[in-house]
Amino acid sequence: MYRKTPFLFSAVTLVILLAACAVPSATQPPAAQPPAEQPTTPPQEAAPTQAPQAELPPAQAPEKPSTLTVLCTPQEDWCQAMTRAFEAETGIKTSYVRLSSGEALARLRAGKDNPEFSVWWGGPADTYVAAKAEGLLEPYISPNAAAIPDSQKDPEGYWTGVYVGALGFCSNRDVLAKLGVEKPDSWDDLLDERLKGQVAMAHPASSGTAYTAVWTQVVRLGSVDAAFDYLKKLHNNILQYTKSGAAPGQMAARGEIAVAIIFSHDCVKFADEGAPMLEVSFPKEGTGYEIGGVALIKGAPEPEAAKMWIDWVLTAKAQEIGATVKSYQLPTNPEAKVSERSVKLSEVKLVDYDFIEAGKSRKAITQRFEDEITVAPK
Amino acid sequence: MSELQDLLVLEHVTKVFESREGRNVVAVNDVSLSIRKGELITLLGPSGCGKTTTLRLIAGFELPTRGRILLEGQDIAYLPPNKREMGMVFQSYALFPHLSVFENIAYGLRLRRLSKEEIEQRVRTFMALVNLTGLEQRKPAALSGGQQQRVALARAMAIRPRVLLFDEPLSNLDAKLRVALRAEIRQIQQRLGITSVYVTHDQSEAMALSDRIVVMNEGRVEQVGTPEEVYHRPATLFVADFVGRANFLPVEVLQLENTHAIVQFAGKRLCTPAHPDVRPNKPAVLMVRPEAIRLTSHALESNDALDGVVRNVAFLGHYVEYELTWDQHVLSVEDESLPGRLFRQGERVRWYFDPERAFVLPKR
Amino acid sequence: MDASLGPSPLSRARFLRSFTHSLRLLLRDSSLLIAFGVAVAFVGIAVLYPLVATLSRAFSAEGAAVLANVLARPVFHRIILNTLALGLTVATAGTLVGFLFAWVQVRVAAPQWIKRFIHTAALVPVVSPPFAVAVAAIVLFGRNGLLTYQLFGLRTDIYGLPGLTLVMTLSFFTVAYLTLRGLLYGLDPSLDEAAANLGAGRWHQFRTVTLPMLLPGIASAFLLLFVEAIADLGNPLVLGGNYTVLATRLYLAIIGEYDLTAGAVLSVLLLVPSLALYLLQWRLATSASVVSITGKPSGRGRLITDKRATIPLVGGALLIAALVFLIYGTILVGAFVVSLGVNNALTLRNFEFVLVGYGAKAIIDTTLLSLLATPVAALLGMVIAFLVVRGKFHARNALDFGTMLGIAVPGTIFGIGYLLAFNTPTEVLGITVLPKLTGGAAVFGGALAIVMVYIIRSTPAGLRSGVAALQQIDPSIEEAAVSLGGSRPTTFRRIVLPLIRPAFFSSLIYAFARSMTTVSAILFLTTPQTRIMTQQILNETDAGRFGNAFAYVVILIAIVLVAIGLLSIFVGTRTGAEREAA
Repeated sequence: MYRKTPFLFSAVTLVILLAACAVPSATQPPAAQPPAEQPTTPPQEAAPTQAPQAELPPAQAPEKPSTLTVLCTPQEDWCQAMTRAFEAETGIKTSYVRLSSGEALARLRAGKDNPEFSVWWGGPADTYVAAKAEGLLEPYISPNAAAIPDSQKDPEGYWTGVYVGALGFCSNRDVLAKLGVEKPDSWDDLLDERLKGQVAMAHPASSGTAYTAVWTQVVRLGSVDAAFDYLKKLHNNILQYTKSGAAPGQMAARGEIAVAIIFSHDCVKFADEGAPMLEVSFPKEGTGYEIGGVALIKGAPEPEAAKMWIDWVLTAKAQEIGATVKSYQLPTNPEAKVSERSVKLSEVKLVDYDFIEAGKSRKAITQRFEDEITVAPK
Repeated sequence: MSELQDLLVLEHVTKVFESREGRNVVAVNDVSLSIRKGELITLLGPSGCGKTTTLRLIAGFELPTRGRILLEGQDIAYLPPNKREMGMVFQSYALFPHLSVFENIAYGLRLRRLSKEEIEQRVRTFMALVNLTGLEQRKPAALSGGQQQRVALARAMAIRPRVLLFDEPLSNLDAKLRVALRAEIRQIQQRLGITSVYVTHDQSEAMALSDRIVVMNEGRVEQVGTPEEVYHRPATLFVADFVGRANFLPVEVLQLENTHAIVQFAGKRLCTPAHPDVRPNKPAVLMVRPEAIRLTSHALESNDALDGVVRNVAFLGHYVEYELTWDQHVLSVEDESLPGRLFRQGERVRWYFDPERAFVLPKR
Repeated sequence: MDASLGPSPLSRARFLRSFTHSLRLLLRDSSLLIAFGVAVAFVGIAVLYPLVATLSRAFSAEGAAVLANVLARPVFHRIILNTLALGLTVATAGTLVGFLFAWVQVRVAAPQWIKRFIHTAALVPVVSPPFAVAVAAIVLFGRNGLLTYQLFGLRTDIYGLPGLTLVMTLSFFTVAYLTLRGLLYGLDPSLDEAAANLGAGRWHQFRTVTLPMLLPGIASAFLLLFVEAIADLGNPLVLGGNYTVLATRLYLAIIGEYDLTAGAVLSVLLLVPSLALYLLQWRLATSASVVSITGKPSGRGRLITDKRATIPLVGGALLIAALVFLIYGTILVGAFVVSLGVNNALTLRNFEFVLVGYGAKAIIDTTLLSLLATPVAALLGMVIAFLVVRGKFHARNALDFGTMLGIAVPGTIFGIGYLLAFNTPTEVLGITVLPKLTGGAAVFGGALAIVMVYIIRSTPAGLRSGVAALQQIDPSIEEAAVSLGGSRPTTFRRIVLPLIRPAFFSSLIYAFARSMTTVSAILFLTTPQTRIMTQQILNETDAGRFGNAFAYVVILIAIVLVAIGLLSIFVGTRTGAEREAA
């Protein structure tokens, strides 16, 4: 029922915005939109309710969408595997652009009036929270979303979780051995003097991963100030803050550093892809985690195909594709098989991560990080 | 001459350029000219006198600011240069360096879509005319300067232009070649009867080539006339001074008699040819060419001769050049070169001239 | 109307007259008018409009607030200082290396193979994406570097200013080398001979005659390098580490903070020094009349044969050249192993990844778009050069400068400018002149915007070489062709173009290589439908998959080299005007 509210809402906004210039066009949307909505949407909605277990949206929709453009935030090969599988199953020609979460948000904002993408898949939930706050998303509650735990989706349906990943320490065993340092299992272990210049993380302004790490400190230590005290100390051991979230893992794989603060599944992936000396460990104080989201973009050029995509990525089958390309994030659909290489969340202590709060504080914290940490002397 | 024979007419043509500082420079100032069919007319003047600009206006590379340019009665001032059917020979030859001699000459013919045979035949004809047969396949860089200019001449003539334009074509060549080639140009031009406009700053070249000479100065036409008229009957002091060398002597005009004037010069009365604008009691000068002055030894008494002192001597073989001082004036004299007769520097001499070889000009 | 504000009636009348005069001239020759119109329209739309869009965003009220914030934060002072320091070190080192190479090439007696080796080393960076060297440098000289750590046991930190200086010097010194080599060849050796004749020793000659004569050229190369260094985005992104410069901060503002206004403000901060130095360089280059180019070769002068001088000079140049080849060798080898320096097992997986996956589309798209841009850029460069050299209208200097902005302005700024200018259809007086060029639903999937960027980035080089070539051609050659009955376009095609063929050829090569390797200007312009290799390389580098990045670079270089080969067959490097060997 409440799916009508955004239309009404936007219609009202339009009236307000356009009242000054063009009366006819301002009065048109409320009159034209609702009836237009009726004939197109029911078949889409009806199909899943008829067959709730169906893995696929119905193919007998009167006007089958033919193309879909996905904004994809995870690793390139996963994006590719997903779009290919979707294309094979639905016949919808699916293209994607792989952008980091920050870039993704920038592109969505830049294209607000005329979006280039229909659906956004992957990337941490806090950026979805930010996008929701900026009015870039359109709520859509997929019938398949019922299977996803409430903690892993937006209550209003603006986004739904598709995977979960925990932050961890990705260590190069050989480098640690040379330094004579044990595998870290506490945030304070990273402050060891012998690790000077041996730790790397990404820059929170450009990387959701790094921001998760920073916010984890805020949660764990109880205040922003305490978190920055810790980050200042950590700064002494940091070699550099990379642009992309997973890059520190590759630096560890090349032996440039001993420990990278990255998502644990990325570390496992790198280890599988030719860096067997990499090892994952978790801080005992608790670590942050990300929920990868999927969302319908407001004003999507291909809304029907986008909804089909959302329905599909929430299925167990679609969520099992990740492991085939060594993306070991945990599926959010409890029915999806979990790869042996994936980290069991039950074995890791997670902090109480509030995505909404984290999303709201992001600008202030990244600016403070830039002002206080990156320029601090070592 | 009847109007019909004026092929190319310039009527009050003015060209104003804007200099880099934004000032206006009048390059050609109200020039009117008529060029007759078949004649070779030379624009002569010092550099910056507007002669090249005038030529470029005729060619169409510049647009006149004011005035009309008529070709066979049709105003062509705004006709693009490629529609004017005028051949041009440039100072720098301007051959197409990437094309062979043959292709250079054939260029204008190909543009006219002549048949292959006709092009072949015409290129051969004109190459023979300028004595270049056998060099068809050479590239311009492999030719001497004189050969290059012959190619340029053949190329310009091959299109059978209505008017052939020459922009100082010989000034990049050495002196001997210049003389040889100018005779050749004159010969070919006369044989083919091509109406030609020729720009040069070299007066002997102008004399040798031209049916008529247009002397220009500071954008204006000073005189139009045959080489003989220009030399012996200059219209202005500038022409007298620029064409050939001249001594200007102070005179007082007493009386006019037809084409002559009775003047008072150095206490004597002379009857000499005079410019039509000369009036009694108006300032005037007497022009005497250096070769009109004769010298005699000081020892010989003569009523007609004046005293002078040799200031400088240059023996040039076929004549002797003297500088004489006479009554605060310095005179140039070209005396015959005779064995055993040479005046020394500082020597006192006597000098005189035939009044018929002098010319009285109004002083402006 | 206040009379004192407008031009005086007299000058207005004069202006009108000269205006109608040029109009009549243009109308008489409509081809010139069309060429002029096309050039002006292109420069206006593709170069000036995006810049104006950036400036107007930066100087909006919102922009002023951002600027105030930026100027108040010490971290930005650091960033600005970092930028200038990087410009200074790279320009200094690059000019020195360029000078060394040029000097050895022209003035030192050395075996021909050494000279050829050095020359090739100097030209290799032109055909590779600018940050490829950075990636290889990490493998070679990083903390776990093949050379530094695994061979010498040194734990060097390549991230930051020293590493950037090394890498950017090796990537950019070509500009200095080519400029100075040209000057040295043009320098009349009789000047040195005259100095020697007056009793000056070699060193004294160098200090008192050669160096002062080269000074404007050296300064000009220095400034060009400075501008290029502060504009570069790829290298600081890959190798900057914590050393942030304006270009990377600007990238972060767009990519990380999604803030176009901040991007526009930072663009202006970057634009000011770039343009100022560029203008200075322009003045120097155009007024460098100190250099005596005699035109006719008056012999090559004596070459330096003194072993005390040649050994360090040639040795130094050889060392640097070897370094360049080592780096490109690393790229080549790195493309065929799993992870160079960590796991040196041979594999074709990198190429499989690049050629079979989505990389194939990037390769095809990039090559196609570059192929589209290349002839347009080269031809446009020649046409604008023709208008600039032979034109008789007042706007020709403005046209020249407007075109040159395409390279004087850092690419990132064009990226932002295009986003700001072309994300909505462009309208003039309510009529849509251009559809939406960037972002989603852009025409041709944003390819048109990318091609436009390729063209504006490559046209300036074509323009300069075209101008240089045309200035060598006596204008009366064209007048002769016209007076023989050829129209302007015919003359341009049959006489001018063949004569400037070497310039045309070099600008074709340049345009293709430049387009294939452009990074900063197109990063914000790629769309789902259009993939660009350099961006993929950056992505792979960023994700740490160096092997894939190397494979991309190898393929990219191969494409550029093949294109150069094909061009030299089909376009040719000679005008046909050269004196035959016999």
